[in-house]
Amino acid sequence: MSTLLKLNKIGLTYQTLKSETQAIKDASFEIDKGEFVSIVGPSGCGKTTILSMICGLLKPTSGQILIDGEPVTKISTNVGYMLQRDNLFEWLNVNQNIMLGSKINHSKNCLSKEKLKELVKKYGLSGFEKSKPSELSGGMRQRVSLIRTLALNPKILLLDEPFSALDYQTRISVQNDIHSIIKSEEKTAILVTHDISEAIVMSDKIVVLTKRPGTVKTVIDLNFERGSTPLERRSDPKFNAYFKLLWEELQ
Amino acid sequence: MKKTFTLKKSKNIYSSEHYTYVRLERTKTFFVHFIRILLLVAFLGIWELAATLGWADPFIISSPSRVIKQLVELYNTGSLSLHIFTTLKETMLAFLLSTVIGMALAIILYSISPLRRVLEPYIVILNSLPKIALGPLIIIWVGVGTNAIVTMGILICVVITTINLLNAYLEVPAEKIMLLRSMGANKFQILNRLVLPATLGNFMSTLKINLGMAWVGVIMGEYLSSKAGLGYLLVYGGQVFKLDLVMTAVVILCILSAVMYGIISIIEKIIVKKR
Repeated sequence: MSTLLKLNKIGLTYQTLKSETQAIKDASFEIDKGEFVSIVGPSGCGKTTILSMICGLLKPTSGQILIDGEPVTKISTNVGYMLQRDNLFEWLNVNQNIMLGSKINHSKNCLSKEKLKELVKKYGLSGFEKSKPSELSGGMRQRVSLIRTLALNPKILLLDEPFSALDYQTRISVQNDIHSIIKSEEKTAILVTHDISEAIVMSDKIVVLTKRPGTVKTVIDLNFERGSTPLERRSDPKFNAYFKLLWEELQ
Repeated sequence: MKKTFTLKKSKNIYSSEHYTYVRLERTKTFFVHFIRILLLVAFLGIWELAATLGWADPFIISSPSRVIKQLVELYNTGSLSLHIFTTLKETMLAFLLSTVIGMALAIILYSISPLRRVLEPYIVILNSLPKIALGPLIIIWVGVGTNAIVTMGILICVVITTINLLNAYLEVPAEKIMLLRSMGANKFQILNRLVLPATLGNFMSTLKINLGMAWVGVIMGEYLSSKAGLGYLLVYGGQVFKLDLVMTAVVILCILSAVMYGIISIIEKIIVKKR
């Protein structure tokens, strides 16, 4: 497998009038193409900040981020960002929400309309193309949000606690859905979460950060059966072992 | 077996409890409308009685029948439509222009944050300044008549429009802006695809406030200098002690502003439905 994303000794310092905060210090890790990686760590350790830097919304104060060997210097559609809330536009219907990215980029690098139609159908949204987000369930909204992100055909998907606003039952089923969509579209994904079990069931690899200033404490490779779904992993005996390991790492 | 009923406007079959509930709610709504109209009729009736039975001097308080007589008189001399259309035209002009100018200013201030920071105290002062104080300046700068009146209307509306819209724009969630930025959107696209559509509700309520303010501004402008219009009738009626004329102008104003408010409400409903 080839390395798709490389963080090389990333550091970030926030400036405010009153003080200076070192959020991230010398963080380095690599992600291969097609991998699903979770970033966990104590709250305030700069997980979201790392995503913002990968996306190009924030510039690191030191170090370098490389995607496919190219340094990230500005916002690029190589990276698709899925935020905490689904942030669907209530005044647009499902189709218009999905097409938002391609409207903005004048369809450069975007998936074709046919391909998007296929995704809508495949992920259980057919018949809802003309519906407003307010008419959809929480799980459907998240799938629309994911397809909207996929529409720009990104090389890397960034997921910033995308399930935290959902109730427990919906969260479990949406985890399953999103995981299978990402795997079947063969996307590379980085998930930020504070939910240890979520990180274990979703990922191939977990990056554990220390508390502020955040740096990489350890990287845990997960060896679940290939192609197992998040739901199946929850009942796998390895799940408990990983949970214990991760719990101890985070103490 | 439970009895079932079919309600008007609905094909579904509901239980008798639902039927009773709906009937009760509809009766309540009917009574609200009924009492509303009753209140108006009672007000007009007492007003008329007070005048005819001599509880108060009809020369001072006028009366509904005197107002109607005055209306007919104005209509017969042909000046009724002149006054109505003069004021209506001025109000529409002030309303439309102040909406356009206010929105443009709000967009400029929203897009250029250093400018917003610099101008903030001035906007606050302009907002609290009683615009009527500018009356003499307006007359000297833009001349008497329609120009002065419309300018006064715009001055009254424009600052509050700018402030309302700007605040609405600034309250658009930062996360949604970040989402568009991560898709590579530029400032114009963020404005066009997110900020303006997201604040349509605020825009509609600003229109309603603006309309009321435009009436205030135009009548104030007509107080300053006018040869025709409802404000002119008010001033003239007051000066020659024809209080029937003053009351008539007030009644016409009530009706006109209600009608225009109604029109905006209908437009709002259509737009909201369309979305």
